[in-house]
Parts: sequence; C-alpha cells; structure tokens
Amino acid sequence: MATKVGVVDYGAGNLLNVVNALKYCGAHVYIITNPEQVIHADKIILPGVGAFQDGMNVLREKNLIEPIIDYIATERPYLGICLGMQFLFEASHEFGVTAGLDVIKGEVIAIPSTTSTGTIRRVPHVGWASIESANDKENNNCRILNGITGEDSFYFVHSFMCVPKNSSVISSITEYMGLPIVASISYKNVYGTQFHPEKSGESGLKVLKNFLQL
Amino acid sequence: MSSCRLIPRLDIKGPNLIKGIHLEGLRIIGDPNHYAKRYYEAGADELIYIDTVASLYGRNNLTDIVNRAVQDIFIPITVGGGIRSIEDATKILRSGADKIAVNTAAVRTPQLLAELANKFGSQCIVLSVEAKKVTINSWEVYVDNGREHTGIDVVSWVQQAVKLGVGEVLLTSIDQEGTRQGFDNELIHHVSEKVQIPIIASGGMGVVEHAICPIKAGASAVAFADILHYERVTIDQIRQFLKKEGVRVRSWLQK
Repeated sequence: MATKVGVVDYGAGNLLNVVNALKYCGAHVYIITNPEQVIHADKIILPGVGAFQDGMNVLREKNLIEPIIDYIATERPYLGICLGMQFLFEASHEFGVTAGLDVIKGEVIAIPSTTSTGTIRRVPHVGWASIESANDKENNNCRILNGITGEDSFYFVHSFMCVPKNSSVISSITEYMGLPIVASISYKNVYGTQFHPEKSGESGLKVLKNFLQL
Repeated sequence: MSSCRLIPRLDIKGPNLIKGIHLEGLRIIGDPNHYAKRYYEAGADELIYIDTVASLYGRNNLTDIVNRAVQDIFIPITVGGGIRSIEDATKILRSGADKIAVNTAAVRTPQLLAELANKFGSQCIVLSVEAKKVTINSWEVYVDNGREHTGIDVVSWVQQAVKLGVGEVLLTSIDQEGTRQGFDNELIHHVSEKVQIPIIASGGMGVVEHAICPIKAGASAVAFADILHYERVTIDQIRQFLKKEGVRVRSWLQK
C-alpha cells in the first residue's frame, strides 16, 4: 500500500509542487488544514517559500502550532522544507524577531551580504549546489540522505539560514561564496532541508522517497 | 558560487511550441510539454515558458500547459507573457510556476514590479527584457514580443527594475535571437556590470562554443531554444563543454 503523507497547507506558494513530487514518488498525499488531521497523521511535511512571520501567523490562526509540536513529541516523522525547516527553531530574525516552534535550539538569521574578504554575496542564494553530508561522520545517520553523494545537486532559494545551537543536528551543509550554510538537519524523527527536494530533479526525489520509507 | 544554469526556453503560441527568428516568422515545433519533459530528463537546470502572443491578446494561456508540466517535471519553472497584475501572477504561480517573467506590463507600469516583489518576494520576479541594438554600446527596450519599440535605454531600465525589486533578468537580444550566430555579449557585459542580480543570457546560441562568452561577460545562466528543439546538441554536451572551460555547472548524472 502507498505510504500516506499529510502536507500542511499554511498558504505556502509551492504546496502544489510538493504534492506533485510526493505523488510521483508513489505516496498517497492529502492536504492538512486542521488540527484533527495533524493529530491523526502518520507523516507530515511542511513545505516552504514565504516569510517566516506570515507562515507562523497562519499556523496560529489555524490552531496548528500546538498539534504540530505534540505530533513531533510522539516521534512520528516530520519533514520541513525551507521555511518548514526554519519553523523548527526558537526564533527567526526575518522582519524583526518571530518565535518559532522551538523544537530545535537555535535561530534563523539573514545570510550575510558581504563575504569575509568584503566582496558582495548575492542574496537571495538561488541556484543549484552540492551538499556535504555529515553521514560519513560518527553518530549522525540522517536517513533522508541515504544514497546521496557529492555528485547530487539540490536547488536552493533563500535569504535566511538556520544556525542550530547544537551542531549535532546538522546532517549536511552547502557552501555559498565561502559561507557554510546548513543544508539539512536531522533530530530524532524530525528532518529539515533548506533546499527544495521537489525542485531538485532526481536527487530531490531520492530524498523524498527516503522520507516516505521512514 | 552557485552553478551556472542551463535553461531551455520554450516559446509558446496557443497550444504549440514555436520558434522564430528575431522573435518573428514563427514556426510550429510541437507539443511544449513533450519537449519540456525531454529536457528535464536530459538535465536542464530550469525551464522558461513564454507565451509569445499573450500581451497582444491581453492574457496568458499557459496555466494549463504549466499545470500539466509540473506533474512530472521537478525543476524550477519560469513563466512569462501577458502578466499584468497581482491576480495574473497568482494564477500562474498557483498553476505550479516558481517564478514569473514580466516585460510589457512592467514597461508600461514600472510600479507593478514593486508590487509583485513585495507580494511574492524578489526571488520570484524575473524582468524580461527584449533588447535591440541602436548604436555601439546602446540598446533599446522592445515590448510585445519584439513588436514595439519604447525609446527606453536597456541598461537604465534594468537598473530601475532592480531598485523596484526584481530578482533576476532574462536578457534577450532581438538582433541575435534565432540567428544561431552567438549571443550579444556586449549587451550582457554592459548590463551585468551595472547590477548585482543574476542575468540569464538569451538569443543566438547556435553551437556549443557560444555558451562560454555570455558567462565570461557576466551572465549567471544561459537560455537556448532551437539548438535543442532541432536536436543539434544535447544539454549534456553544453554542460561538459562549460565544465572543460572551467565553469562551475551542476553535477548531473544520466539516469
């Protein structure tokens, strides 16, 4: 039977593309719009694109914040894409400071627009980049990155980046003009990707399939 | 640095993929999504769909085509042609596009760019510029898919659009488009030295070797059309060529 996965609708622009990619991977996809659906879900995905504050406001209006935190506490699989990963942190500095879900300690900050040598770093960071997986190191086996190598590339589009307090949650990084950026995180059954697996061709589909198999 | 992007451009009229010379003399090629799927599978980094008659008729009819494309194409898609309002943009983005490209309506109402950028974010808004050479180092903005001149200088228009919040420029040379004689690299150089946002070079690619000059001139991405439509080269041949020239490209493995 196809894996069931709920995609949370909080107004993110790329919801349709995430749904399409999951369907293509063979999943049975449904859209989550109310707290009941979160409580009964087996797997949930929060897609990205949009502003942190707007996104959190919609989650609050739909009474989804508490159910999502409770859901995560039961250690069922959660995948946050881009903004959906950033929500997991304590707070974001996008347009003032906004509190997040506080599942993972750390903050979301702006990508510095100048490099250490003073040259301009174009923001938003848009484009394809490879990632360096921490899977090779001890004690971090990020299952959504199974089979991903340095030959895989992923599509990034973001102006803010996650800075976890505990680096052990970082499962991969990418480099952008000398700046290491957290590309994915893994903490118990919580996963996040800064890149867009739904827009990263075969490499991205591989990550989604890995999540569906958890 | 991000990798240099290789972007097939699909010009659409009605239900058909078409190809012209200097944006005119249009020839029908076939079903756009048949080609789009093929380019996705062949390693395209993004796709651009342009409705070539949309601004003439005052509407973009690509939503159905895009909606079908995104069922099984999983790379970023930019859609342009006839986008005149927040409502038009919303419709296109809801159909599955990642970015919208605006030309004619932005020239007539520049403030539209600011509204779009505020609503959807700069990364979502591509300024489409159709440039025609006037004299040495001077180009004029054209609208309505190369049909109408405006008297506006290309470089200052792009600078204004960046201030209004666009995140990228699709820079098409009308002179070179469809000629297979190579890009207008002077144009790319003049625009790219004035702005920080990524520039997609478009118009004129006839052989693999043409891909390097626009990148050296400052482009972050190269768009091409009939060189692929007529199967004169593959995307991977362009990728391998650029790699050999020392350009950073997406690593991509044939399935």
